[in-house]
Amino acid sequence: MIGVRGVEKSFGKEKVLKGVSLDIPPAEVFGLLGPSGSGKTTLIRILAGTLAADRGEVTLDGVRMPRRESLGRIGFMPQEDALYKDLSGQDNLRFFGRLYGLRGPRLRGRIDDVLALTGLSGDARKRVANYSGGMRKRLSLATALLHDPDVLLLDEPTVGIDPVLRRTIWEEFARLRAQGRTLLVTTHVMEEADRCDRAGLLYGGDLIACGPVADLKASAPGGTLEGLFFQAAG
Amino acid sequence: MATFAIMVRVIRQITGDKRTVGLILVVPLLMLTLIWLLLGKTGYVPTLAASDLPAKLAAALEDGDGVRLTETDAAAARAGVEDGTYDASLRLEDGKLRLLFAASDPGKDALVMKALQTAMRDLVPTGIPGLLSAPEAEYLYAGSSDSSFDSLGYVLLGVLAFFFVFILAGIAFVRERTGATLERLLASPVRRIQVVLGYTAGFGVFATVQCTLMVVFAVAVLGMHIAGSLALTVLVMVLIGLTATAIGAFASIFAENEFQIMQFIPVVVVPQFFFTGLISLDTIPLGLGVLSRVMPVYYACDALRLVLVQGAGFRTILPQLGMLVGFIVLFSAANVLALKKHRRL
Repeated sequence: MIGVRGVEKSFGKEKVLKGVSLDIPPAEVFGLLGPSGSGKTTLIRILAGTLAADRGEVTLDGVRMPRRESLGRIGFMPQEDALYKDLSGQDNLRFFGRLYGLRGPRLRGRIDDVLALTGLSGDARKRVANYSGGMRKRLSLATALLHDPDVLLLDEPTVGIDPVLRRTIWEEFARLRAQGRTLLVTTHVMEEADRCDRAGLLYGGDLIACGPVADLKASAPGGTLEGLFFQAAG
Repeated sequence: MATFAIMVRVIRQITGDKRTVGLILVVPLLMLTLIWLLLGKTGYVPTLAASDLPAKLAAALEDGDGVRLTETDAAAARAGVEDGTYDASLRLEDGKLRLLFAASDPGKDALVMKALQTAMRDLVPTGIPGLLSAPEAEYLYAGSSDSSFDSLGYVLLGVLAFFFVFILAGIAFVRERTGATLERLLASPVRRIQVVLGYTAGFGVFATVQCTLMVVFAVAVLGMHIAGSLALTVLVMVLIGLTATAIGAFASIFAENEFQIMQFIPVVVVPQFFFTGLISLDTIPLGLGVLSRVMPVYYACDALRLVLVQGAGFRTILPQLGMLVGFIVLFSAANVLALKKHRRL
């Protein structure tokens, strides 16, 4: 489904990605793990097509990205909230929905669905400026899910969300996977890795390990994913 | 579709914020009113020293109430103008009326001229020799200026239309960049040109409302004289508003926050104000007047002057309109290219 081949990216003199390659098959929840500054956000932005790689390529179903026609199949949730704070939650969704070609009853239906899923139905008419941090995060996730994309690229989707809602959201991820969707989720919370099918560990711009979460743990010193990072840190 | 969605969103963002609506709709009117008050009619009666005047003219000036007349000799009159006792002096020399002002003060000078013209009109039937020709004005310190609201109004309309839209569009685009909404926007299948067109259309709607309101207010409430067509005036102002949108969005590329947009005001807005014809372009030293040729506001004000003062039609101002459209296309294209930084499609 998603193919990443030798992707390199530098900002100025700093090399943020040093030749990352990985494959994500359809209907999988893939966790991209790593400490802050390891290159997770850079990689996900390259996948979303909002940042160009210096070298290497990204493919979606074998077609080289970015292609404008294929962008409609991707749902992207940036790390920042990326919402219009002077608009209501509903107006934000309406706007982004129209960009993806949704309209009329289908747009209204999808907006109701994602609002219900993220527990924001009662706050849809409030201005985002008056939302709490967690509510903004949820609205941002709702926006990424809105056009029912095949591929979801979610950058730290559960940061600042309370444990109960976090569980609901992970259940939703599992449901989406069951429907054949592919999800790439970045996180630096290792417990969340347990909910992923497979995981890739980014450290200092290198993919130091990649595979089924259970296998990774088995190979790790101390039997935890942290062990792999400690090992890499030397 | 995407263009329309962006336009609707921009409009919603503006109308959702009462302060912004006030800035667009009310503040320009306040500024026009303020300047109208500063340049317009006052209760002030200027002082005029008269020497060697025909008795009839002196009497007419006294009766007119337009000036406070003091009859004195020529030397005393001149000294009085120098030390500020009198706003002007008037004498008849070689059959011609000569006015002497201290320095150019558009407000006072205009009042004196008006009083004199009124008095002379009353005297025309009596046929005093020398009074049929216009009086010659001299200045002790500086050149003449006939500025008043009527002849300055067009500059203000052009500058205000540019100024407010520039700030709003610049800030809106900076927020779009810093708030990462631009990244999310460009992760969708939208075309870069649709983003720029959507913004242009959204601000175009506001520029139209704002400019119509300003022109109608200036004419209907402030009584600004308008020789040409009202619709043509609004068209020129909408075009300068769209130019301001494109330049504001362009400036936002070089700004990291809202305050940095404000820093562009002395760079982008103020120089254009100087080159609008407020200062005669022919008299600017070192041939710097040619700089006006790269300033959109100059073309807008030139077109507004032609329409408002000379009553010019569409064909006459076609070159100016063409330049404005050129600026819009140029900066919009630059903005489409600049979005490549985020996405190469």
